[in-house]
Amino acid sequence: MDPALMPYGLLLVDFPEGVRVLGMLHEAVDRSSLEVGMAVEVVTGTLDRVDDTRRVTWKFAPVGSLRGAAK
Amino acid sequence: VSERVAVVGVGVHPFGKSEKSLMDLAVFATSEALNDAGLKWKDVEAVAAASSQFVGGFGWRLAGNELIQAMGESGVAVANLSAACAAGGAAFSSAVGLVQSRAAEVVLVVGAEKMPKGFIARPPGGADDASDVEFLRWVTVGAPNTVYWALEARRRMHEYGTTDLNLAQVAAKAHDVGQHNPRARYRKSVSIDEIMNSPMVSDPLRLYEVCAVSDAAAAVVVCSEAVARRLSVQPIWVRATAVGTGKFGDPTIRIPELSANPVSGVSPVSECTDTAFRAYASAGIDPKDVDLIEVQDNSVWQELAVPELFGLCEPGECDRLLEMGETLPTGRLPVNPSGGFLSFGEATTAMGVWQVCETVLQLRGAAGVRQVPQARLGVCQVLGLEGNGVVTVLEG
Repeated sequence: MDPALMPYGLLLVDFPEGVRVLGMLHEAVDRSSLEVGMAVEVVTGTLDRVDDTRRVTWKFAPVGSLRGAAK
Repeated sequence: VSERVAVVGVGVHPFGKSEKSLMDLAVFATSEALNDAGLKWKDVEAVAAASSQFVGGFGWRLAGNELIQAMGESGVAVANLSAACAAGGAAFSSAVGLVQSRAAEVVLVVGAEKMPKGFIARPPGGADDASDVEFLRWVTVGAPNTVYWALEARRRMHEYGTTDLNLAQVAAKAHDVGQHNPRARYRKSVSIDEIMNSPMVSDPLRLYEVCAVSDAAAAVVVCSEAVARRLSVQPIWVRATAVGTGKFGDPTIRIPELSANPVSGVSPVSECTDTAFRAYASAGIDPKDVDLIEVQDNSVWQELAVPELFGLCEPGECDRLLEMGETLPTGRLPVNPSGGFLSFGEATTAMGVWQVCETVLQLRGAAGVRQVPQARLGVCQVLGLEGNGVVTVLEG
């Protein structure tokens, strides 16, 4: 499947500082593992690849879920 | 004491995809509204036009001037108003102000739009620049408008137990009602199965649970009480029309933003919620007195959330009212007796004017099988991106 057509997760996350931020779920996380209210952390993840260059963006992942995986 | 304002003429070009030019749609609606009122173009003293533009990106135009050139250059006053998708409501509110202040006795309000095919996309021509929120939301996050409504719907499911079936029931109800509206784009009922098997757009919202975009135009004539009394049409009175913007601390992520700064005590969708309560106060009414409401149902979520936010029922109550048929035209709290955006598709700037047209027909008792029995007070709500809200209270 064209990577641009793959479904992706989006999270609305409340930061301790009081701001609420929209961002993507990290591509290595299974969407079905998500629950409203769970703790997540800010990570970097792949946005897309343009001419062999990997572009990254801010993403979220459940705390500890990427341990051992390439962030 | 400000002048009392009446709506005496309404006109709508049927919604759909049209081969006609934008001005042909606008002239059609204008002529119908003038005929309905029993007035002629030469009687119009001012034009208030919704003038945001969505074809080819977000921008502005001089829609009022274009219409005046098409109808006849009589030298009338003009106001071209941009308020994104709330522009039709803003134009209506401006026209009411002109009559209230006695700057004009007869004012035409018009909104017309031809939409690009498919969902509203990223405005063309923008640079890939991290300071541009449109770049950030479309490219780095992947958040078209449907995502904003999907996040709200998912949160509602968590807080109030709204189910996938409830979401489908909203769409089924919209089409059950809208199929009887001759100006609607989609005029057939749709089964719960068809809705729940339609393609997922932004989980949990499926194709039938978000509105399409349409080509259409709507126009209304507002006038002073003295003029209204001379006409043979039943006047519908403007009890209040309020314009508002969003407040700091609003917990809602506002299109096209990527963040919010929730502050305890600030209303969600504050540009509409707080504006509704200002409109009630100005009209001197209690929300419990409202007989029907037209809400901007870009998705099924809004039809469940807005009546609650507007104090027409308790928070979390709308799913049960829907299940019991109470939001149908014959129910206790009729929501979108027109069929809503889900049946019409959104012709952005026309919508605030179109809602007034639909509500006027209800308050005249001229809505046919969709009629809300003994409708006396109707409320219309539109929301535009970047925090534009307009709420109008009409009385038959």
